[in-house]
Amino acid sequence: MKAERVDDRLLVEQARRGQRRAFQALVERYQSKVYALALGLVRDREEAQDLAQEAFLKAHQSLNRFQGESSFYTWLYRITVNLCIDHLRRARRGTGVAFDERLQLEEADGSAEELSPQPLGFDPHRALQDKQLRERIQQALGELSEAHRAVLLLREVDGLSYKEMAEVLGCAEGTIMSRLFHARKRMQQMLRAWVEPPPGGRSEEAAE
Amino acid sequence: MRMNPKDEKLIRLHDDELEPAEAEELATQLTAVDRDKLHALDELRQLLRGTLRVESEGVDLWAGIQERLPRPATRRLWAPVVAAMLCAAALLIVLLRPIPAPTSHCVIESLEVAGAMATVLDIPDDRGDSTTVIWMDHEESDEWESL
Repeated sequence: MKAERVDDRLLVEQARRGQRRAFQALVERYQSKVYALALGLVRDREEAQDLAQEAFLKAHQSLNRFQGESSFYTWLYRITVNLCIDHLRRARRGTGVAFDERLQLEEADGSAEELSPQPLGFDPHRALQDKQLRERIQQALGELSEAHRAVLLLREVDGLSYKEMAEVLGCAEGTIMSRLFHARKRMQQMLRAWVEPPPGGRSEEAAE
Repeated sequence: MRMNPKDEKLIRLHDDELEPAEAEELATQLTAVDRDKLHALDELRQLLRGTLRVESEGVDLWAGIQERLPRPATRRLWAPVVAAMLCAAALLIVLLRPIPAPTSHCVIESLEVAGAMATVLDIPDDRGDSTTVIWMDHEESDEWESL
């Protein structure tokens, strides 16, 4: 990642001087990850595409303000997360469910504080051919709070370190760890409920 | 809610957040349950990563971004540069153009007449004729007299 960071800085510098090709190279390098992050957060392809484009445009407008203290991608992910969370908050206006309320409920669910020792039993390579499973994973993501979804995506999909996630989300590393723990636990519980339905039948989606 | 300290270490191991020496030490102390926990974490990671990778395959944002980017700065600079060059050229033309010398063909002669200085001016006109003007400068006065 270090060589990439140096290379990013060079591209940022060239893009700052108006070289469109340099900015294009940055877009091509990060578009999949930025889009995946936006899709994971908003769970709508069109909205994710618009928000990912918006994030790059905003980054382009602000290139002169980018100090290079953090890496280009953590800066870009911060822009993306902020745009997506703003978008979700606007969309949720009127539903009465506040951001923090949901986060607190998830973290105070009274469940055990230990990691699950039971894998779900999926073969990830085979599972990804299963559209229904992918939809279920997306649905489970959607049931998490934005804060939990964001840490999970930044760690599992984008591969950011705790320190980088703390920069992106503007919180302490301890908070990141705690959120990550709860987010993973919730995801495992939801997927397990789908794989191992309670007596009386499988969940609706799984039964199809 | 506080997580189990052993689990905290396992999570840090899974996330590659432990110092190499600490990770090595923990790896030697893993129980079967710990290994299952790590396997479950890895399974979730693979599922999430794979799902979003499949969903974002082939995404091309550049076309949409390119349309909305401001025109390149080099093009915007073109007009003021050309304007400045034209102004400089115009200024040079004004400063360096040859200044024509006075074109009068008037012939002037000075004569000394008793007690006076006379100046004879022979001024040609457009028709090829000429007009002669004699100015007398009397010594007693500074006045000029036209004859």
